[in-house]
Amino acid sequence: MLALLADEERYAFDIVRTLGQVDGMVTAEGTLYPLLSRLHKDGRVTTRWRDSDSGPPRKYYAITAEGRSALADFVSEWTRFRQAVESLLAKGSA
Amino acid sequence: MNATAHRLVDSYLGALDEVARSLPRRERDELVEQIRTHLAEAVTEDMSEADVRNVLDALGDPHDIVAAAGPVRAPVRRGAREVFALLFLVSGIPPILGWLAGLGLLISSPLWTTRQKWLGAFVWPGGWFGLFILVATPATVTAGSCTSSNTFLEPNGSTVITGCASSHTITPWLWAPGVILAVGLPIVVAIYLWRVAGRRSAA
Repeated sequence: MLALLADEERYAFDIVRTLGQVDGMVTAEGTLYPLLSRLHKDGRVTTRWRDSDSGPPRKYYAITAEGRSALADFVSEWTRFRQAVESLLAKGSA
Repeated sequence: MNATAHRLVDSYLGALDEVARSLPRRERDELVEQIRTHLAEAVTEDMSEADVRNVLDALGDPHDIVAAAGPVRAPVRRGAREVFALLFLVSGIPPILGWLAGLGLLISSPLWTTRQKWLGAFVWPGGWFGLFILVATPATVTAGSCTSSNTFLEPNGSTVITGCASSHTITPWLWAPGVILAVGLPIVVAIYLWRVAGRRSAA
């Protein structure tokens, strides 16, 4: 979710729909909203209202400095984990 | 949004709101508002019933959504706050202060809904003690004004009091139900509030 916000601010529906379309990521889109609220509460994203071309104003989410550092931590952790799994699988098939 | 879509969306939001009762008030309101906005974006005028159902299915079961919001909070247990809230509210002792203390505890407890808090606050304001004052005061006032304004001197010299004997003396048959209502209702309300608090703390 933070990765989605790394380059641009987005509104909640857009975030949820984009994640929902990634195969195998999300089984229930609704469960992403509490996650978004938690990121906001923890200061990893900020919100602001912006007018929309169609319909009422939308609340846009943008990543904060704290959010970026959490994202960087996760990316390095994830890379380590992925490499570990890949090396294990490589041993298994060898 | 067409009529069928409206009905489906409303019933989904209703179910979500019900399940989300286990969340703190603010989180519950926020979650329901987020999902309401999502549906306002996702469900369009030209959608068939199947389309709308697909949107709702993609959102997922309300229980799963609330569960995703849930585990961050330690559950609140029914405890001393609820016991003292009810004791103070029902008794109203010490006068005024006791009832106000009970009211404060009642409002601060997360285990009761707003409607239940209103119920607790209005049966009876001041508690038993407040009610006792309420019943005792007007009776003496009426009795006092009675003697001055409604006392006539009959031509034969005897004094007659008219029109007020029944207004300050409560007719005997009203006493029993009146007392039962005044004393019993707070107990019934307290038992009810105690039970719903237990149910919510268990949930």
